[in-house]
Amino acid sequence: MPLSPLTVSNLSCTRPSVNGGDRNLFAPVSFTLNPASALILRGENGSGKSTLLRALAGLFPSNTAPLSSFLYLGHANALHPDMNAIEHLNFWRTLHATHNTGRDVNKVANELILETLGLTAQRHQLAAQLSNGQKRRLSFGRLLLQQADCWLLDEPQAALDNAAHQMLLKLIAQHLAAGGMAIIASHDELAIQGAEMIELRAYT
Amino acid sequence: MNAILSLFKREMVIAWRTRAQSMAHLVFVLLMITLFPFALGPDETQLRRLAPGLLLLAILLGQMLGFEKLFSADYQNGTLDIIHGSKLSLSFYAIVKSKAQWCALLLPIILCSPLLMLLLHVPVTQMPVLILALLLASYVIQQLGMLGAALALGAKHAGLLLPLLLIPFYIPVMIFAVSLATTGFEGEGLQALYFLSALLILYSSTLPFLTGAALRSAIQSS
Repeated sequence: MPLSPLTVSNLSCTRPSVNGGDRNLFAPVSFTLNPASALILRGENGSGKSTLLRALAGLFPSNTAPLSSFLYLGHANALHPDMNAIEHLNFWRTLHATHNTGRDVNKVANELILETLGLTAQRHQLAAQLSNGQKRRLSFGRLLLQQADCWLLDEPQAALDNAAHQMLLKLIAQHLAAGGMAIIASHDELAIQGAEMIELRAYT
Repeated sequence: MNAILSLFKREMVIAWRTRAQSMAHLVFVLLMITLFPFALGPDETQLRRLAPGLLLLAILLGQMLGFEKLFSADYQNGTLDIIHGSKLSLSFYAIVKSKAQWCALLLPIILCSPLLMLLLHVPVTQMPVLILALLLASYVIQQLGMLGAALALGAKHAGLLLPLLLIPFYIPVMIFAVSLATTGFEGEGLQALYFLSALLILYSSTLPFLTGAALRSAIQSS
């Protein structure tokens, strides 16, 4: 079933300010996002890109209800230093799986995911021992495990090498081709076809 | 059911890899109990009389040092964010976490407690009731500590805030647990047992939800 377009109008986030009253964190944002398309949030440091994504994910108070089906990948990778790659995949499956799959099925699925992420050799390494780029790659495991209409990605390409960057673009392209949506905060040009762009401005 | 087991397993795996922390709690209690006879004098009857209070205090103070770190890892690395956005709730996570933390940090101390009681000259006949008091009290201590940790999450001086926040709630627990341990299963002791059980049921049925709400507000203000 194709998704309906996502419409957000005049979303704004406020924070109590020192001299009383509330302060807007960015100029109110409105957009419409069609299925199978992506939106790229641009803006200088501190312009509110991360806050906007958090608001859409229900992780920051705003005047708009959070999305109904989303996957939020923030700049923290959601990795526990004392868990290894396989344990993370299993934990995420617990959080997001809609139905129970058998242990053997999960094992095969884990191997496939690790292969896609390029982490087959690191499957039993603790997250604390992975490099920054490898941690980022492992966090993309959630993109493969969780079914969600709209991906909310916060600087997903940070710390990635060229190969991992290509892998990320491929994952996003596949998600869009399947009719999904993506909202991505980024400083860099991301080579995503037909992506719209919004420039965020700090509220003045 | 599957989710409970899986979350519990995750907590226990982490607890096992950071077992130095469990050991630290155990060693802290052990050291305090070994030092008490030197500080209070070697009078056997006096030590025996003070034993329940000393044990409880040692356990309580040891736990207080660790509460600050209870949620900080999952908060900082963003795991709480993704639990909030998943089909499980933060309250559910808090329920499982409290059980796992109790097993990892307090169960070892309670298993070793007969040895500690020997150091304080507690007669073997009094041990079962003292262990029961420790079991009930330690669980209540843990549940309250979780709520405190969640409320103080993200606060700058959580280490200072937490004891101030928690101590008033620990006073009734101490009173009832010591009363139960010294009087046994009759009269005042039995009343204390009822009160302690009531506290346990009240706290374990309400605190996880408050903890969940506190975690949610901590996430949303970061």
